[in-house]
Amino acid sequence: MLFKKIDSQTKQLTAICLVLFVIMTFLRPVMFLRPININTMLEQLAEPGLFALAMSITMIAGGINLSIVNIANLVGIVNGIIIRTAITPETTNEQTTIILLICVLVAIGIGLVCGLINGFLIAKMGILPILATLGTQSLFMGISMIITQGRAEGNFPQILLDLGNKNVLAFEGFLGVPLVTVFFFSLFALLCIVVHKTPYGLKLQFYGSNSRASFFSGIDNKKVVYATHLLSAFIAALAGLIIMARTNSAKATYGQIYVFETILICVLAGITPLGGRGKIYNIIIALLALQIVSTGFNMMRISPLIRDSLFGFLLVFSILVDHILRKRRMDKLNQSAIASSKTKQANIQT
Amino acid sequence: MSKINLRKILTMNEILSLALVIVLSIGFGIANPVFFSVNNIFSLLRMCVLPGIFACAVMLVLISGGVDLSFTWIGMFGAYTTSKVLSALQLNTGFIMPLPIVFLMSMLIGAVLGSFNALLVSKFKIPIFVATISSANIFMGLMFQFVGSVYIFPDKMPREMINFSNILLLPQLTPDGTVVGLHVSVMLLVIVFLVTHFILKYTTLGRGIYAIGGDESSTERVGFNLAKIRVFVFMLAGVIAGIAGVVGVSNIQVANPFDFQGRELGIIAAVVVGGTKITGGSGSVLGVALGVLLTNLITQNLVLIGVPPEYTRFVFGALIIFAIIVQSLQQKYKLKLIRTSTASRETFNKKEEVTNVV
Repeated sequence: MLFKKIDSQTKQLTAICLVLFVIMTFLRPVMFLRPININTMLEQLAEPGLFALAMSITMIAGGINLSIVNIANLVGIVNGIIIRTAITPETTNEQTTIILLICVLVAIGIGLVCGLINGFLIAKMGILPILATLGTQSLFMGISMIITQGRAEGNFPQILLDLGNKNVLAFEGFLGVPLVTVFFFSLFALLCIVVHKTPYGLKLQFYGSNSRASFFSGIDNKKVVYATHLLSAFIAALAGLIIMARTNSAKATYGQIYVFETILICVLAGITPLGGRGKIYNIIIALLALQIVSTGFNMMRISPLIRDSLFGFLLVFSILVDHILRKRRMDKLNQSAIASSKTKQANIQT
Repeated sequence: MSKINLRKILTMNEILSLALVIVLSIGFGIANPVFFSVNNIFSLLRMCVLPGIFACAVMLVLISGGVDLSFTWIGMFGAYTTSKVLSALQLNTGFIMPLPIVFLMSMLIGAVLGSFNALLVSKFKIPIFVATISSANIFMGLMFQFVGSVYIFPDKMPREMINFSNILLLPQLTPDGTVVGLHVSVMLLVIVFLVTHFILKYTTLGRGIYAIGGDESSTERVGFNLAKIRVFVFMLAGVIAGIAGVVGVSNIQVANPFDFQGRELGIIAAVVVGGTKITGGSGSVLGVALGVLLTNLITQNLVLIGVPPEYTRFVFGALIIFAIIVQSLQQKYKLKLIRTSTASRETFNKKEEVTNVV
């Protein structure tokens, strides 16, 4: 009974993920299950994971947000400059904490402003999300370029790097879970609740599946668009903080490939760019599948570029399976409809 | 009469990029007379060739109703495979393949890869955006796995591709002794533009591309073969991308498999600025040409008027946002015009009814 209730996409993804996991453990049994490997894999989840979350809600709303990576980079650059100028070897621990808190606030502020610009262009000016964010993507990158003059910002204080690479829940024989991953998982849980359990989430899905119908049922479409893009930019800004802390640098052109990668993750997780459909929790399974593949490929010394290609294959494969299953279901429905109409006719004749 | 013409001009899709190109050229020319030097204009045109040819491919798919993200990898796949195969041939047998064969080979590869896109879109009903983003990854991986991922340097490149990059039309000697000329690939760009324009405007298949982007189910009901049009669009886009790939590789004389990576969004932006609707069914070659000219004008020539190079990206972004805002206002104005004209027709009809009754 419970098995039937689970989303078909979830089943399919879990199956793919398990198969990949088994293959990888089978091929590299000692290396793959080592604690340090698990730890690294968890750490690498956070960045694409956060971007995927930021992308997913805009895709559920039937749009897209191409500017997430650039928002993150802008946040990283501005905060990096603040931290480098404010924290000197003489600052005490308390002062450092306050400065870091201010940084978080600044990040959120930048994120909200960027989200507001996106929301304004889409909701108020009526521009398609893909176009609006195509423009703001260049705009935000341009601002980062002007601030940094094209150079990479780096050399942040050690405390930031420690924070970015900290592990929690460590005990004997287990390295623990990276702090950034804990952060990602908590944000992920929060977003799951927001999208699937709150009135806003329902409105979001309703708007995504049919914006006209949602308008006529009394939903304030503009508010939904604003909220979605603010939330998306907010998550992207937090991702920017994490990138800064983890890599100890910030650059205007960092991670452009993440844009397409997150779209792939979202689509693999069953969130179509047409909007309305999809479950946020599938993202984590898709992410895990990707991570297993990429770590496994690294261990087998296969080029990481092939990994991206395999991801393309996985996507096409999962869409094909979906297509065939849906066709079969439709055929079944059609046949049962024909059968029932025949019996009805027979009843009428008798 | 003049009023109607004004309206027609205001609702034209290409008008914005045309106006901006004229205004910016004059502005740049006043700020720095070097802008109008033959050398600068020739080099600007040459810079437009690669994005211009790619933009044609993007426009075709965009008119048929979706955003293509695989075109750069199709182009690279075609050009890189061609260079690799021909350079091996050249090294082993010393045979130098003539230029048309080089282009034909790349175009053929482009057509094959394009038909894979068409298969995904028309057979399995995958949205174009999703289909092409995954096929882009697949093409990339296949190329790195089965063709190669290392640079091919000029000494090993097919001889004709190197020669192609050195042909100049209208060569002129500048006062300081260098030879300046219009690069021959500009002619290629013009040919691609003309052929695409002809196909879109004067063939049934071309009109079908517009129809399929406007309304798919109506197109089917009218009697178009949807699958045929899809295959045609994606194969043509693949062929054009294949041409662009060879031009791009021969331009820098090195086959760098990562050369076009990350250029997708800039080219799509140029196409959109030129008035092609991202939802499909509308767009023209003239608009694409103007859009590509405009974006290159800004990215290449801001330095000439003393703007520091790091501001280029910002100005580019601002231009795109400005253009799409103007287009959305234009769209609203057009809708208003249609509404008022239908309203006036209705009142006219009513009056007629009244007179008939009387």
